Amino acid sequence: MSKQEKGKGGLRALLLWPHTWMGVTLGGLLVLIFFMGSLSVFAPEIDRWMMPATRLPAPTAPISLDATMRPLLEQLQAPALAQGGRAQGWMVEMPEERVPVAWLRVRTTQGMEQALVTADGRRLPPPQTLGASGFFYPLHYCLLLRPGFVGYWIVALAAVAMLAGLVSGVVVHARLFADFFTFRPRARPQRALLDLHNLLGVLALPFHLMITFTGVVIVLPIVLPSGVSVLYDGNLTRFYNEAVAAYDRPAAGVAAPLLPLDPLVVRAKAMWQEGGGKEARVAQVTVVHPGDAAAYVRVTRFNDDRVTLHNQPIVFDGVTGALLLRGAPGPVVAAQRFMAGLHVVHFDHWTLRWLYFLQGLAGAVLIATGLLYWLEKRRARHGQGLAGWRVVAATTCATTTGLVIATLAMMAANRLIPATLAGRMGEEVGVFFLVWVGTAVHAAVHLRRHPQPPWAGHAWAIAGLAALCVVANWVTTGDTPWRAWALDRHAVLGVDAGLAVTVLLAVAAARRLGAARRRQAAPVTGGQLLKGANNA
Amino acid sequence: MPEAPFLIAVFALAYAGMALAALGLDRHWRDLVDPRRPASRRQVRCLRAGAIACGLAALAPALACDGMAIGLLLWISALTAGALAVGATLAIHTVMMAKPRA
Amino acid sequence: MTAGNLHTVARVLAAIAGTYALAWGFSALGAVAGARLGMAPAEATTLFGLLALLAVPAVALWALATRRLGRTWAVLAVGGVAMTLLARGMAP
Repeated sequence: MSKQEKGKGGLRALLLWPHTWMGVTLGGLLVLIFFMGSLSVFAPEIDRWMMPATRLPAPTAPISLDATMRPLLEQLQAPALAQGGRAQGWMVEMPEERVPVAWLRVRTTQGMEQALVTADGRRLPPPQTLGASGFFYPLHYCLLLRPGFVGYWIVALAAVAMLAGLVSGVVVHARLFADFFTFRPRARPQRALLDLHNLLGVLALPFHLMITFTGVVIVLPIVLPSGVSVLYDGNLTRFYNEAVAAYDRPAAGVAAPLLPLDPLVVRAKAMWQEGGGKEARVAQVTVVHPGDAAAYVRVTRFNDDRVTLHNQPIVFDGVTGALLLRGAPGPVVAAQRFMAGLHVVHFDHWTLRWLYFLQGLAGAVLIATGLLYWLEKRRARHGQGLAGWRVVAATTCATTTGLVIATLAMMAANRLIPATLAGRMGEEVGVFFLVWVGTAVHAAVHLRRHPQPPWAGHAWAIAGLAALCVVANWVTTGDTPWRAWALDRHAVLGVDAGLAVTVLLAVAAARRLGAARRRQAAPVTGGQLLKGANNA
Repeated sequence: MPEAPFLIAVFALAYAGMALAALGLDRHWRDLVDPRRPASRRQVRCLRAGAIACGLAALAPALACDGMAIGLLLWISALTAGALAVGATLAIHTVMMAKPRA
Repeated sequence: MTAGNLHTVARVLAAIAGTYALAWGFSALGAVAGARLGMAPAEATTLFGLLALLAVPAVALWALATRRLGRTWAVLAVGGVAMTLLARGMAP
């Protein structure tokens, strides 16, 4: 028994070092990934907020592709065909409840054309914003560094460190069960921070293990292409085609009329329903080589009723209507698709979406409290004269409160810069990064003369920007809460409510921090920030 | 919302189970029930059995509402939410108790 | 650079590069073996990728925590390279 105890103590001591230093070096990056991932749960809703023209009611009647979308697709490719180009492909992303608009994309030998249209076929002006699904979401999974998959590699490395951090954290935790529910906000800052770190780490452990593991699983063929290298000569596309049953054939070069699309969609729906269950909705319809004798039509289903991401593609010949391929993955790939679905929570379940959102934010707080605890402990032991300490302190500040400020600044810019300005898409991104760098510089300068990062100032900035976002939305779109309620614009209502809660929490934290600073000449600490949030 | 009663049952049972589990721990027993005497062994056993029973019982409405895969996911997430809510309840309780009475 | 720093760098390198090499070798060898034994190549590739990922955090922690760095490097690098070469040799 005593030997076992000693063994456990030894293991604990051995794992403390990796746990600490993985957190200190990759913690800031992980906060970014968890925060942006949490926002991505509600990406369609934030998109509606950032693209007011798309705040439309959910489509109710079935949409006829031939009557509504096909004329628009032909219109989109007409200029290219007039220049002697050839049509290569059409893609229609069908509208749904959370994204009540369709994206049409047309690829020709002359290039790509795309259009945003309503369910009844009205063309909308380009949104001039990347929105949450075009900015926050890619920031979450690849840091916007797509060339050479660099961002995927960095995020996967951080995710593996997170997994190792969770496992080592459970081993390092001295009193896992005795402290299971313990959070003492009035204790000294170090104690309160460690309490919260342990509490979130232990209680949300199943979610954090699941979300981190499944996150890497999604990009596994990209970041660990060992099997692909030996079995597919490193050709990732060939692997994916085989794994999820994609279909490909070259154009014949002979013109032939394309069949009407609606009957093919009806056939696809009937095939999906063969096993029983409720009627599946169509997610995407792709036509490759439209107008060519080798044209084919690919129809995929929407997975709002189940966890898996496998969209059961069905491929028809575009001229004869013959069934060419019906995607059915093997058991392992099906399991991989299921895990991917667990990660992205696209199925229709609002309670779980909120639980994912909150547990994701809990992950960000878990990592942030770990960083703050390290800062407090380090200061107690070495003082804060060390340059390294200030670097970590400024980084921690910039990746926590600074990140929230930058996100809110981008959303405010979205509402305040007119969408008619041609470059608004880039300006929003510019605002995000400039403000983010600004918060880092501000924190670093502040730390030269103060013992703590500028928590109170950042909390006031968060409160002010979130309030500005809400008011700017009302003024520029007229969607006040009562109007949004009357028009069933729940996405707008939800984002505004989230912003309002942010204002309240930030004001409470800022006032608490200010009061603490006035009450005692002693430095305001992160622990008091937590107290503020808790007591409010 | 036809699923509302199921969801309420899932969260209520998860919270109840976690609250019983907390009472089974010495620190919270002393805070909430008796600061002088720890719970007897029998009491602890009963509390733990109750906690496990409530936690398992929460699985039933989750599965009934959402089926196997999504139901399990809901159950685990609800247990986490219940545990965090109990942690928050206990923290607020200690802060309130510690406040000097005016 | 002091000996302590060098030791730290070697440990971190072992945890990142060494663990990756081992995971690469294991999943490549598993994929080839699975395909040889009649699994669909996409299935074998995915299965052994997932199994490797399950082991990666634990192996990385072991590499970071271990005191005998020479042995760690030997296991990771030799194991990774050997399995990769074997997989290449067995590849169809």
